[in-house]
Amino acid sequence: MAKKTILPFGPQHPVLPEPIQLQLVMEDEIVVEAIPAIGYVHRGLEKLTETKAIAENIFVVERICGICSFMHALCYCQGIESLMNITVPDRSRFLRVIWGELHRLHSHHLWLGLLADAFGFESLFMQCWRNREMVMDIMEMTAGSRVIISTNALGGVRRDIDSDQQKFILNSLNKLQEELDNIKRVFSDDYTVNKRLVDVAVISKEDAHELGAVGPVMRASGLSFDYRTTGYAAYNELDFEPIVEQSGDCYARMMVRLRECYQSIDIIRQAFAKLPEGPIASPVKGFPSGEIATRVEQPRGEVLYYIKANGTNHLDRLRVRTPTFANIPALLKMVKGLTLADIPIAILSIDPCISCTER
Amino acid sequence: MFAMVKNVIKNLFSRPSTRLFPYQTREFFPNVRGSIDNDPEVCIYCGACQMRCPSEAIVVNRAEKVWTINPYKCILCGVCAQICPKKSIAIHSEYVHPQSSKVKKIRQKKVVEEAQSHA
Amino acid sequence: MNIQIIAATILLAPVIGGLIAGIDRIITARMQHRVGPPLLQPFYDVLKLLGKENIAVTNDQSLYAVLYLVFNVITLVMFVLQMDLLLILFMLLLAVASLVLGAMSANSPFSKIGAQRELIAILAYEPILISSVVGMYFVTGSFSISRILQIDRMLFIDLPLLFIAFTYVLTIKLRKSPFDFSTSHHGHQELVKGLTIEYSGPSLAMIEIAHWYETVLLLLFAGLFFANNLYVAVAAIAICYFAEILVDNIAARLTWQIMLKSTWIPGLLIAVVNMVWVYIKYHV
Repeated sequence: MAKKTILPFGPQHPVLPEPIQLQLVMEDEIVVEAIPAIGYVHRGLEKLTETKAIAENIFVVERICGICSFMHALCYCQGIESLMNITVPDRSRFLRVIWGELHRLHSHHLWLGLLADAFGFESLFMQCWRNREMVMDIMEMTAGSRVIISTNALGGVRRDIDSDQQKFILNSLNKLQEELDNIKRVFSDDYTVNKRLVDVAVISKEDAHELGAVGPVMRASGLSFDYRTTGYAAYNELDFEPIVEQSGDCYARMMVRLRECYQSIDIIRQAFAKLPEGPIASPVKGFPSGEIATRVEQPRGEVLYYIKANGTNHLDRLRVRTPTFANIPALLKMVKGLTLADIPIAILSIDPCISCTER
Repeated sequence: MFAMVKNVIKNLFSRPSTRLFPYQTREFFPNVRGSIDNDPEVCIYCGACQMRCPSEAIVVNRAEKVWTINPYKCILCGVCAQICPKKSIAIHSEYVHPQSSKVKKIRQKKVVEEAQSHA
Repeated sequence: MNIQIIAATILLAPVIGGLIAGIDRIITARMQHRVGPPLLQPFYDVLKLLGKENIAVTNDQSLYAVLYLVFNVITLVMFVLQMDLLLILFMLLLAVASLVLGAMSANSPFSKIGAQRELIAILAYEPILISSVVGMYFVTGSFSISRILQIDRMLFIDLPLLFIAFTYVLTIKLRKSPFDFSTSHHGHQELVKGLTIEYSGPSLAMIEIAHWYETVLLLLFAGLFFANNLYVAVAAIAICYFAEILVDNIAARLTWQIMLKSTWIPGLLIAVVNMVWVYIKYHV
């Protein structure tokens, strides 16, 4: 039997976008166990929300995660709004869907690039990130900022999208779809890419369910579950189906995200077609009280917010359970028995967002 | 195996999409939140922006009529500009370039100056 | 005369190798739609590395970096002096062996696994290199480069399959994707920098310079297939290197299992077919 060595994978490792440590117990190049250690980017944001005013907390929760910041703010706003029984104007519900899907687009493009980088395909990585710039431009034009767009507010949104901007967005999305076809061909057909993704880090339907996987990890194992189908914001008025793949390997998780890019473009087009006229925010008076748990589908899966308010301008407690946290048990299951060369791909395939996880 | 060739060759024979940054700059879209400034002549020094600023970057001295923003604390959310009763706070699209010292932006009635401070 | 040639080789080869690396980086950048670094960037990098403090994990580590450089220089000088090809191959092997030993001595799991992978890479490309030399022997009747150069036929006409196999293993030797798993030109891989992870400052600069010598040697080796016509040889080297850059940009990094299978089964097969063919042609 070979001698066991421990390979410290992380916290600082080039293929990891954010610091997480996995101590890999290896026999030759085979991983027999992975011991995770988190806590490298804990910033105490949950505690901070208790000292800030309720409206200011939007800017705090946006900073939990850079890549899905809009969804964090959306989830928080929806929670406070339902505590205070505020009806959000129709137009702002659609605008929230549009920005939410733009965020999903840029997050998935970022991830596709990182995955390409993890299996050593630099030109594909550059291609993905170049396409992502189109989405970032849309963000910059509509919201004034590229990543943390701060357009959510209690009772609606802070900025409107006018018809000129709509034209620009739809044109960019057409271009983006053409570019997506180019990279989809590589991701789905290229021999070397398939060699690295197919049948790597398989997680079965039962395991995915048992270990509480969420989002694309779950959908890639054949479980059709997408929180958007419950119809928050304006999703109940839009036509879409959760994207499901059956094989549960890295290839399936990649395909789920790649197909979700197309789906997001489609949803944005639908939302623009149905975008109603009207105000973009309803007035908010008073302070919430009571407790609530709200959920939103982020690019990485389902995020859960627990909010406890006491009728003043400060919250008693805000608790966030992010999708990456839910996916880590599934990750530990899938890395067992992999060779070292497949570890970066397996880790990236859950789209880890460690800042989210540790808040 | 050769699915990427088309993309790569196309890239090779077209103009690069990156630019040599300090020499070539990109135009920003209008309404980009780049930096915040205050017009000291219009401002009434009511302190509403200080109250509502989520990152506590703005300090208003009502007695001496001094408005100070710490650009390194500011998160450019734009709340101050939104709630300003006289609309004297404006957001410009130019970003603040990296600097070697942390300079606070001070706006004072009649006198406009940039003062050095070690924040 | 010989001393002049040796001095010219030692001085000129890193300049040529560095320029090739610079051109490589610009073309790669353009293929990725980037502007890319200036042509002389590899030289700036090495000069900067030379000015840094040498931090070594173990004492012998720096020695192995020096040995890697020295053996590469000797190999190239032997090639330019038109000596025995088999001897040159074994000197090249010694150079790689010192790199592997240096990585092994560092006692870091990343560099150890990188060293093991490099050993497997040697296992993969060495048979092809030796069979191309043997193929040249069958055609010319000598292992010596000076004799090979006297032949007025183009070796490529007799050894096309061996040349293809050689360009295939050139990808491994030049550390290009899909076979850059023991160490890669940039740190984004599971072993970070694998073999060279524990090297820094002047030692890393020496490894970089040694790699330039190695590049020049390998490209000259490729040129040997077209040796009777200088223009064809230069064109062939250019095309060969461009193909390497292209492959680098259109392939993901594979695993060593796939590399071993693809070099040993199809690679060795076409090499043997070619060798049998030239043997029958010239010796039966």
